[in-house]
Parts: sequence; C-alpha cells; structure tokens
Amino acid sequence: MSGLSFAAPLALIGLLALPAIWWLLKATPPRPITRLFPPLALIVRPKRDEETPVRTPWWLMALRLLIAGLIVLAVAGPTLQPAERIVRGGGPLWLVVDNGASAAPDWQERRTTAAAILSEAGDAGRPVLLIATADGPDTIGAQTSAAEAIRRLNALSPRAILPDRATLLPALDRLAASTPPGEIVALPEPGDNGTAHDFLSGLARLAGSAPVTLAVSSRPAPLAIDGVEQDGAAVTIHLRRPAAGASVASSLRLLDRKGRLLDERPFTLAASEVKADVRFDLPLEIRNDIARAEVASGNSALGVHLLDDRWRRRSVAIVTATSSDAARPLIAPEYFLEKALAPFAEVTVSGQGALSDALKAAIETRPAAILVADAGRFSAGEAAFARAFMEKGGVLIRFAGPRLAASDETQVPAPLRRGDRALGGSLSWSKPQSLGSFSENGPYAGLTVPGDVTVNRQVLAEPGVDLADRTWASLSDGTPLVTASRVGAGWLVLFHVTADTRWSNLPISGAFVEMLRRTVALGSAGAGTRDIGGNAVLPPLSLLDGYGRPAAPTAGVTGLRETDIAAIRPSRSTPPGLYGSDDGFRALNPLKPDMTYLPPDLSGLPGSVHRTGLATEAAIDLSSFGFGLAFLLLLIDGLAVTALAGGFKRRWPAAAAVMIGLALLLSPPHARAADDARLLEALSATRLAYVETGIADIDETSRAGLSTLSRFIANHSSLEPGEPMAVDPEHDELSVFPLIYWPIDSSAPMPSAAAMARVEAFMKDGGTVLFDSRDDADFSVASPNTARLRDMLATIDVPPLEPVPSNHVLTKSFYLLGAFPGRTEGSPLWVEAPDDESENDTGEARPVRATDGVSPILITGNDLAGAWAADEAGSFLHPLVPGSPRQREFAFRSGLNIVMYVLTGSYKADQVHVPALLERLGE
Amino acid sequence: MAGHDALTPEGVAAARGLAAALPDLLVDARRVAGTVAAGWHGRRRAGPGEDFWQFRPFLSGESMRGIDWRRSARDETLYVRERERENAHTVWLWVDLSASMDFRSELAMTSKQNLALTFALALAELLSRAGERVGLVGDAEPTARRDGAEVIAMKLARLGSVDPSHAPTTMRRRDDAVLISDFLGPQAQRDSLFTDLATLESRVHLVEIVDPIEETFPFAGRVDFVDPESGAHLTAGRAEAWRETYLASRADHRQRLVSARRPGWSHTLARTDRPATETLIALCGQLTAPEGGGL
Repeated sequence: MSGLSFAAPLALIGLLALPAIWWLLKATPPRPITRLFPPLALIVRPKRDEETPVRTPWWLMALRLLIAGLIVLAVAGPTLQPAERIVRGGGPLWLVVDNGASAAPDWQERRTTAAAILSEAGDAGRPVLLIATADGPDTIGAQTSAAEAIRRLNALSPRAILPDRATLLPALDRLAASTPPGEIVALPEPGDNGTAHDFLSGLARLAGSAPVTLAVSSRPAPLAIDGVEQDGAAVTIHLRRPAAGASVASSLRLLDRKGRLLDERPFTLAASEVKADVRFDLPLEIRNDIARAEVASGNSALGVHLLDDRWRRRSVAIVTATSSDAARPLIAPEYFLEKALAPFAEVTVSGQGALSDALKAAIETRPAAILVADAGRFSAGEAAFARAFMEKGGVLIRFAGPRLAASDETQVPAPLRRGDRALGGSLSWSKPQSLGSFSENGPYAGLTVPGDVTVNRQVLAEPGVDLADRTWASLSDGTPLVTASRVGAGWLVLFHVTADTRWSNLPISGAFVEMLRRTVALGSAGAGTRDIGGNAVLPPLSLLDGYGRPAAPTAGVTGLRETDIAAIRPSRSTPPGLYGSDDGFRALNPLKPDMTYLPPDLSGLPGSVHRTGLATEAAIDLSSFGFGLAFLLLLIDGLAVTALAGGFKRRWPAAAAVMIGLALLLSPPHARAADDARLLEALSATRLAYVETGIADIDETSRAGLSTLSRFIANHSSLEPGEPMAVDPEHDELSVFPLIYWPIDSSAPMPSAAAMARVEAFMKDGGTVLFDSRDDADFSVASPNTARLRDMLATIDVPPLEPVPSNHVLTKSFYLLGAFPGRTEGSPLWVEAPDDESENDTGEARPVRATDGVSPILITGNDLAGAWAADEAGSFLHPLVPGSPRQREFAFRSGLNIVMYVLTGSYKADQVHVPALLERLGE
Repeated sequence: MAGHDALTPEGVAAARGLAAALPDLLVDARRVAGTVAAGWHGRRRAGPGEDFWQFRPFLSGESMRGIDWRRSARDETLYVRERERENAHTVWLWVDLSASMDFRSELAMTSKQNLALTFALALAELLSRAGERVGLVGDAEPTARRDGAEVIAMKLARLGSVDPSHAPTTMRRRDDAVLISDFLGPQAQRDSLFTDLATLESRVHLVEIVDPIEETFPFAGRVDFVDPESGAHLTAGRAEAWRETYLASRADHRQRLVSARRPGWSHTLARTDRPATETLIALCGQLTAPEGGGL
C-alpha cells in the first residue's frame, strides 16, 4: 500500500506537455552570440547544416526535460506512502479508536489514520460514530457527520490508563440495535489489559455482515515500568513489555520532584526478553529524592513510575524504657542510635512514660523500625503491640543491656541465658572478643568486617538447632552478636550488646551505621510511612496524561482513599498520578506488577475481520524536494549553457552568478577557517587596530597613521608593534587588541547595536577604544561627527569622562606631555574620570593620580591618525593645523603615551615614586 | 552620396566622428609617411607637361620655340622654360567610408576605416611632399599644395562617404588611382568604376583593407551575424561548420577582385592587425614601379 500519491493529481496532466517542451527545446535554440560581420554576404549557408540550424546537446535536452518533469511532479504535490484506503463498506461507519497509554507513542499516526478514514467517510457522505475506548461508554453519543467526528478526534488525546473495553459493549449493543453499523474500523492499541479480545469479538458480532477492519500499528508496545524497589543498597526498576520482540536499547531516568535528572542508565532488552531489571547504585541522599522513574524514549505513561513519600526516608522510632539516662544525654543509648540512624532515617524518640505508652506512641508514628534500647521483659500488652507491628512488616530492633540480661525475656529472636557474659575483665582469663563474621544469609552479607570492634560483655543465646540460621553477625569465638527472626512480614532483631559503649565499642564504629541501615531497610510497607489521610479521600494533585507528562486534574476524576491505594486499579475516575497535597501524597502508577499487560489477543476473531496497518507512518511530502532538485538542475543548466555559448570568458558575470548560486547551495561555509587564520595573525604580535569606516581615504589614513605610529613606537621604545589591522566590530574578535582606534565619520554607516554591545564587552574586558571625531571638536557643540559619536555611545555603558587632567598618568606614561595634538590641536583628550572616593583619597599631595586600571575609552577630536599618517617613503599625507614645527612630533609623542598608557596601566604612575623610594632607602 | 547622408542625424554623427578622428589620423599618417619617405623617390623630372617646372639656360641647337622670352629679356642669357614632366601627375584617392569599414574586431589593432584613412592621408602627405597632385574621388579638383594631407583631410571631413560608380569627371587619362576599400560593396558598381578607370587608361591600385576576423572566421557555437551595412542577420547554428565554405567564398571573392584588374593595376592586402607602414611601403613600391604605360 506504499508508494506515491499526489495531492493534486490533475497537475500531472502537465506531463503531457513534455513532448511539446521537447519539441520547443529542439526548436528554440540557445541564445546566439551576436557579432558584427561586414562580409556577411560572403557567408554561404552550408547545405549540410541547413536542417539543424541549432543543436542542443542531447544531455542538455534531457536535463531540461527532467527539470520540466520535476516541476510538474512537484506541483502535483507528491507524497510518499500516504494514507491508505481502509474504508471498504457503505452506510454508517463506526470508528473505534483506542486511546489508552500504549497508544500514546504513535498517537499522531493513529490520529492521522483515523482522520483519513473519517474524511474518506465524509467524502462519501456517510454518518460516522467515533468511539474512544479509554473515554468510557458515557462519551459514546449518536452518529455524527464526519467533520464533527474529526473535530472530536482532534480533541482526543491518549489517557494514562489501559482502556476497560468491557464497559463499552453494552452501550454499543444498544446503539447497534437502533442504528446498525455499515462498517466498523478499529484501531487497537498494542498493549492490552485483557479486555481486547472480548471487545473485538463483540464488535465483529455487532457488525454482522458489515465489514470489520482492524488497523494495527506495526510499532511495538511501549516499555512499561511496573515497579521500583529499593533494597539496602540499590534501586531496582522493573521493566516489562507485552511480548518479546526486537531488542530495545534505551535508558532509564530518575528525576526528582522538580524534574531534575538524578541519574540515567542505559539498558538493553534482548529480543527474547519480556522483563528486565535495571539497578541504580545511588547514594542514599539522592535515592531519597527520587520522585519519578521513566523510560527515556518512552513517550507513554506506561513508561513512568511515580514515587511518593513512602519512598522517602524511613521513619524510625527509638523507644527507651527509662528516663534516667536523660540526665546524661550524651552517653545515653538513644544518643548513639540517633547519631547512627540520622544519615538515612527520620528518627523520633519516644521515651516518655511507661514502655507500653512509649511503644504505642512509637507505633502510631508508623515507623519502619522501632529500636528498643535495653528494655526488660515486655508485658503481655507490649508484646502484643510489638507483635502486631512486626506482623505488618515493621522491624523491632532490640539491644541488650543489664535489664535484658536480668530478665527472662521471650520477645527475642533466640532464647537467652540469664545473665551476661563478661570478657576480659580482671577476674577473667578471656580477652575482649572482636567481631568475627557476618552471616552470608543475613542482610549484612558483604559488609567488610571491621577489625577494631571489641566486645567486652554480651548476652548469650541458648544454643539451638536454628541459632546459626538466626545469627546475622557473630563474634570471633562464634557466639552470636546479632540474631534475628522473622515475625509475620517483619523482623525481630536483637543486638546482644548495649546501644551505648558500656559493653562494646560497636555503637561508635562505622559498621554500626551500615548494619542499622540495612536492618531498617528491611522494614517496609504501610507500617513504615506516615499516615497522611487515613480514611479521607485524597484529591488529585498531579495526574499523568497518556504521554506520561504531568497534567492538571480534569473533571471526572474522583480522588481516592489512602487505604485503597494498594488495591485500586487506575481507571478513568482514578487515573495514575499523585493524590493528596504537597505535604503528603500517594502515587498511583499506571501499571502495577499484578496488572495484565499483554498484546491484544486477535486470534479467534471471525474470518471476515480484515486486518491492515497504520498507513501514515512515513508520509513524506516530496514536492519541496522536487522543487529543490529542479532548481539545482536549473543552475547546472545555466552553467552548461554558459559553457556552450562561448565559454566563461565572455560571460563571466553570468557564470559567476551561477557559480555563486551553486556554491551557496553546495559548499559549507569556510568563513570560520578564515576567521581562525585572522585571529592567529592578530595574536602573532602586539598590534594596534583600527575600525574600518568604509570610507576609503579615512581607512587608508587610519592604516597609514597607525602603521607610522607603530614604527615610531618601535624606534623610540622597546615595544615593537606589528602591522596594524583593520577590525570590523560587527564580526571580528576584538579582545586580541589592546587599543582600537575608531575614527568617527557621520557619513559612515551607524554600527549595529550588537556591534556596540561587542565594543562594550571589549571595553569591560580591559580593552581601550580611542574615538576620534577628527574635526577639532571641543565637544561643547555637537558637530555631525560628535553627534554620531554620541549616538553610538548612547547604547553602551560609558563611564563618566573628563579631559585629561594635568596629573593624569597619560601625561607621563612615556614623554611628559601637556596636550595631545593631532592634525589639529584644539580638542581635548577625554578619559574616564576617577571615582570621587579615590579622588578624596589621593588628595592633592600625590604627584600622579593612580587610576586603578586603564580608561576603557579615550575620546579626542584632533585627528591623531591624520597627523601620523605617512606613506611608505615617509612623507606625511596630511598637513597640520596650525602646523607649528613641533606639532607633528608631539602628535607622535601623544600616540606613544597613549599606547604606553594602555599597555602598562598605572605602572607608570607608580614609577614616579621611585626616586622618592630610592631616596628613602638610601637613608 | 555624401551630401545626402550628411543631412540625416546618423550622417551628421558619422561626419562628426570622422572629423574628430582625422587630426589624430593625420598625425599617424605623418608618422607613417615619415617612415616611408626615406624610400620614396619623387618624379621631379622635367618633361612634357603643362605646368611650369624651371628655367634653364638655352643650349645651342635647341628649338627656339622653347625660349621663354619674357624671362630672357631680364638679362643677357636666353632661358628655356621647362615644363614639369607630367605622365601620371595626379593621384586620385578613394577611401571607402561605408559602414562596413567602420569595423574593428578584437583581433585587430585598429578599425578598417582608420587604417584606410591613415593610408590615404599618408599617401597624400607623401605625394604632396613629392610635388604630386592629389585628388579625392568625389571632389572636383586635385590639389598640388605641399600640405596635401591637410587638404585631403579637410576634404574627407567635408565630403564624408563617397561611393563612386564612375571615375571623376576631372580625371585625366593615365592618372593614378588608389582605391582603399574592403571591396565588399555592390559588385555592379565596382565593375562599372573599374571599366571607367580602364577606359581612362588609369593605373589603379587596389588596397583591400581586411579585418583579421574576416580572414580567419574564428567563430564557434551559435552565432548571429549582423551586416553593419544593411543590418541583415544571419544566424549560424554551428558557426565552426560554416568556416570552410566561408573561407572558400572569401577566396573566391578575392579572386574575382584580383582578376578584375587590368594590366598594370596592383592589388595590396592590408590587414588591420598589421602596422600601416608595412602596407604603405608595398603600396609606394607599386606607385613608383615603372611598369607598362604607367610612369
């Protein structure tokens, strides 16, 4: 069904004109060269050539025919692989569009296909019924016109749920009873929650003898995330797809609540695999920030998994039986526990009152784990509380101590002997034991055994057959240090030492933190999270649309109870998203591990059901390509004709135009390389620069002037500047020049704002621009040139200026100067005025005003370059006004002082102190 | 003829152009003539003629009829009045100034017309220096002034284009005629002129001015040829294919021109890409050649 189709096939009639064009081309010769030729009468028409007065080479003819053909084809609007004809029948058309989450990745194609079908039906004047399966039965209205249906179709968007099609059939049944469909076309989505087969069979039944067509996309169903887990060390993301297929390489992303990327990890799903797990090893702090996991290229809500604050730091409660420790809080067990837990858990300490009250209070905060430091025997009530807590998945961590040792507690993983065992005491032969090993079966497996942990005293477990299984950590003599037993969904864990340092130094070792972290991580489920609403209905906070993007809640979304969240399936009234408020929310994800996500079962449908594909996946409009190619060929034709009609010598302008056209089309810009070469040249030496005004004699004066000045500087100082360069502030890199001379002329084009911004940046970065209005301006009255200068400087940030004061470093940077004459000598030289503060600081006493840094801007009207400019032979180009004998010399001295000032800054200002300093040293 | 043309704007413009070019050409012609003069031997010899040449002392045995009494009366000696030898005393020049002459290809150094004028003026200069009389076809009287070149130049500027089909009425038998043209004009007119000149027993020197492009036909591709004279067009599809036949036709034309000569006539080919002196020397050789009943 692929191939070419035309938007305006009638235009193809133009192709019939090709023979005519061929004939015309044959008959119409290329334009002849006209030549005067006096002995015209002597020219004899050769007989042989009489029939072929002109001959277009066959390839030129072919080229032109090709151009004409291309233009005709392009006008006809060719599109490659356009919408396929799907509609087959007559009568009312039912179009069933799946707009669930798995339809999102290729929704555009689906919509185009559907629109094509609808417009075909519209062309045939058939009524249509558009059924969007994910929108539910309520949206099924009556049959409408195709145009109306297309409007509705354009308003449709995929939802983040998989459509529950079962609810649709009864409504359709009723409708079919009144107005039976003439044809049914369905666009099933690739992921199915198990309702597709019945629905499609039902449709086939409804259709009766009417044709039924399924337009199935060739694109595989999107990858779905059906769960995110974290064990003690890593985050695992479970991926699923409906069926094995082509191997998929993509990446998974973890984002925080603000949408910032936390981590991205590539994965590959082999062709045969349906499921995959991707592990992220992340620091705990980052792990707590994860709010969203998504398949990078998913573009479907199924590839998104939201995490709520149940995921966040687990809350942990510490229960102390006694309040006596409060007197010495820094060595109390709670203190050690709090410090050890703080990095990864939210700790609440409930130590007030009796143990049972404390325990009850702790359980009410719904912690993941409760730590009990040295409590004696639990009363029956307390034991029931604790047991209930553990049954729900909580972890109860107990620590030994004198009280436990003295009691016959049964709420421990393994029966204990009465009393404790002291190691390394003065009455004992034995030595303090070190930590021996971690059980391979327990959560501590893989932890490195610290060598510096010693245990002086412990409670001992009664040996039993299952003691080894219950032991997670043991001392080097084999006696258990940590024992645990499973209680319901949770754990009961006993550390055989105290939580403080009385019995061992374990609580102050790094291993303790890691052991607690892994232990607490075992605690899970509802037991561990804060209750945010109880039975109240949580309003939708932020929902997902079909593409997995956050969307505002829409009408028809009801909200849900927190208690229901585990059981509820996403639906139209409870779409996936976050529910609650910003302070606390629960996530409802598009796909839960127990939900069906399979390819739609299309087997067993009646044989009359026709299947086809979505046809619009690559409709390429070829007309622009055709026009482009025709234009290119026209250029080639132009070249060829130029070459034929007497070569390029005589027609070089035309040929050049064609060549430029071709060059623009074909060649990549080489400007960059030229720029680089220019930059390298600029950097090869310290050189002055001038701005080109575009007025030839001004530019020549600037160039000659700076060149002569450079020679003057080289002759009189140790600076040997390179040849000056012309710069264009619009394009050129300015920062490589210390000083830019800018002659102002009101007839030169105004530099653009961008150029002035570049100049401003140059000035800010330490460069100096010497503006020269060249008209002997005293700047009190605006001459045209100074007015232009003002316009230019209006756009940039110019510091306050002043005429060079007599104590300015410019007057002393090389020669001692009183004025700065150029071709004229009436205009002052303006420099940046120093801050008021520094003026106050310096006062009158200092011989030289030490401006910190160099004035970024110098303005004069004396036409300095005009005074400097000399030709190669050394004769000056311009006479001076008024032309006193030393004026030229002083113009050069001014230039040298300015260059020295720009290059050395306030260094010269400090030089004036040298004699005084030397004198002082001498004393 | 010239007078009619001069009234039209085109004619005025052409005359102005000619007048503007003439001073320069005059200088050119002088230079050329100066180059050639060294090899020029005038015919300053006494002989039967009508014009005064010199007085010489009477030699005994001579016919008394030759004595010029008026001169002899002024002193003791008898003088004989000698007349200048006068056998081809007058050289008539004709410069073709038609549109076809006003042509210069990129291969040429100058236009055909300029070369023709240079020849004419240089000849006038040489001839008048040599004491010959120089006439212009289309003009009545030949001039015998020493500054014949200027006179001819002024006459040329005044007359403009002359396209004669008959010899000048004032032309005498055995006068020389130098026809400078590209001879691309109407064949019939030329034939009648030649017949006229032959009848006068005139010695005619044909100077054929050609542009190199007319000799080589270096065209290729599609070319539209325009005749400057008539404005006629001829479009060649592949000009290179026309070369052979053109060159053949050209040679044929030349052959006809050459064979139209009477005995004693000369034909000189002057190409505009060659210096004028080259051709002028050859032409002077032809003029002074003591051939046939000529000089």
